[in-house]
Amino acid sequence: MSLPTEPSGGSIVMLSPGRGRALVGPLCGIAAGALVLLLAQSVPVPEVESQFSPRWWPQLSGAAMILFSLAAAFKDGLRPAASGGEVEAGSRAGTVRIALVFAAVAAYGAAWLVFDFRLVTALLLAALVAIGGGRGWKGLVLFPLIVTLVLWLLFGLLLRVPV
Amino acid sequence: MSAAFEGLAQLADPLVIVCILVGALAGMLVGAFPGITATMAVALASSFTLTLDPVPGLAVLLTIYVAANFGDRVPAILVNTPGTPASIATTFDGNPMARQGRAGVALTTSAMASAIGTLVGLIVLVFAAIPLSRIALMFGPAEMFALVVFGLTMMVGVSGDNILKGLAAGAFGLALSSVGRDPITGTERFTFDILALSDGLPFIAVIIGLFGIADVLDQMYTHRSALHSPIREMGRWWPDRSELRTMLKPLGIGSAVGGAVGAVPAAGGDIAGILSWTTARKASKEPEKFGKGSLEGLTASDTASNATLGPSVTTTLALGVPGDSVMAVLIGSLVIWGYQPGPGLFTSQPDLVYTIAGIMVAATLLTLGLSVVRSRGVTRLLELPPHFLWTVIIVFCMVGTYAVNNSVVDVVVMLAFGIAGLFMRRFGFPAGPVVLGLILGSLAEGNLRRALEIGGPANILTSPIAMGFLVVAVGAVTVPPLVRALRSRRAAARAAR
Repeated sequence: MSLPTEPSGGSIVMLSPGRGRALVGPLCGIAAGALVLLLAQSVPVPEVESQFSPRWWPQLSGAAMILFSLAAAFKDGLRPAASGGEVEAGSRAGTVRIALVFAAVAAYGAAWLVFDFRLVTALLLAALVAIGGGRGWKGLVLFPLIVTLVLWLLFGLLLRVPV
Repeated sequence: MSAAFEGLAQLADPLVIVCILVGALAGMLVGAFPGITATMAVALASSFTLTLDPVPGLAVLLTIYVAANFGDRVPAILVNTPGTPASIATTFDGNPMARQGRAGVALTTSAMASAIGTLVGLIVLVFAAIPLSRIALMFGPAEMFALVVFGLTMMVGVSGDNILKGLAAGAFGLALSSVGRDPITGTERFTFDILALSDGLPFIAVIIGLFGIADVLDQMYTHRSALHSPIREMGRWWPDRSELRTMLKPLGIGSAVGGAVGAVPAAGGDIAGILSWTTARKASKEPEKFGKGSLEGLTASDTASNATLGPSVTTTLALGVPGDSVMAVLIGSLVIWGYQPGPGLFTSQPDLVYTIAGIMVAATLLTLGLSVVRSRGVTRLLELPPHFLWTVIIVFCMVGTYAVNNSVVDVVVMLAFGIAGLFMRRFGFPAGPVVLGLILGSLAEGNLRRALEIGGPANILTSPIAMGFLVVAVGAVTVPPLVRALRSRRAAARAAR
């Protein structure tokens, strides 16, 4: 498995602000608010009516999300330079790294149902070190074994968590 | 006096002493690694400490909080990278001092200033907490609702240029707080027949996701290797007599600024440090040295950012409104332990004030000792490859979250909020208001509904306390953008001339 290479020792690259990018966040906020309003319709209303139904608070917060996101979209759409510019740019290697982390975690969750916690945790640790760029027996073997031992002692023995 | 005795007697438990030691070491390490904030560390540690009794648990969390505010000065001085946001102002003079070959003096001075600042802040806790909570006991539903709105908007107000996004994030948190049972009727909302959600979204899992996992994912996404190399020439370690004399005035300024800023909900050490640095520069006989390695500047900023800790705890526990983002996390743990931060807490359990103050004094003195004797190995820590750190954080977050309720649902919630937190970070939405909205949402909803059902909107509009909070809340989110707009208009006019 090889990851895309990335520049080393360079300066921090900041994202250049743009109208499209500036609108993504607020538009997602509007969509999330609309989803809250939609889901609020499915909340059952008690037979004995009171001044405020259980739907009232989610509807209020969903509407507030839409209102503030709309205002943010309007502001950022007009002046995209005012938003962004302080966010460090990501990299293709970073995207791949995150995708691999979630794949490893999903595999860990599935393997934990079948195999012993210590075995699967050591494997997960080794995989995460490799995804992060670690190489060599110290990083891929010794480090996972030590951390697994610490986890098992802490959670399994000391805190008696059923791992 | 018996409350003080009872409170301090709790510290004699050997388990509490061990917890303070563990917390001090963990907090120093956390602070020393840029990118791991005290909020993230306390969130992660809270998953371990929920199995402990409240006092040992508090000992771990509060000591991490204190120690991280010492450890974060190390990378600020040696690498020009703040270990946590609270040490932003430390870089102004700390790093120039290190570049001049005075890293040792900078580190020792910073530790001394941090310790004095923390101790001054704790005086506020001891003397103000109980009177403040007695005043707050007079609050009815209208005042409590207004207080929650005040706390939420203060956190949004200090989130820089992103006030509208901060408000949207706060509203998102309020929406999340409606997951579970309705606080008045008990009707289930947004549970989707998942039993684990009937008590609401798990606080700790959401907090660990938004702060811990999102932080790591962001670092993995943006990582560039070998950006900084730490300074190795430390020079002498102890400030001489004239340098100690120079520290006196900024110590006073920092204590006053930090004490005042810390009492304001959601305003933390970062704001206090910068404000104190600016104030000390104005009051200094040598303002031209500020930003170029001034001992006064370093002392003022570090004293102030640590002097916020005591007042921040006071506001959190006496009023139930988080003093900063770490305190928002701490409220989550306290609720699970059966404590309800707010007006009733200190009046029913006055000994808790002294227990907390005692823990924080012990943590301060221990961390000061560690700060003075550690130092030579610290630069090596700063060179540790990040993949080890990422791996440990991800796995500890997962296993720690699972351990809270032995629930896989919690882990899934944590990972989902990790992705949500990464998205929010990349698109300028602050995570603090989400957590605050989630934690305080049911309190706000219940009190607003009670207030309106008792006397309608007049119940709120005729209460001077409620209206006072609401007016300040509106000011917190409207004044900063107006001031910024006015300044930029003036600057544009000047440029045009």
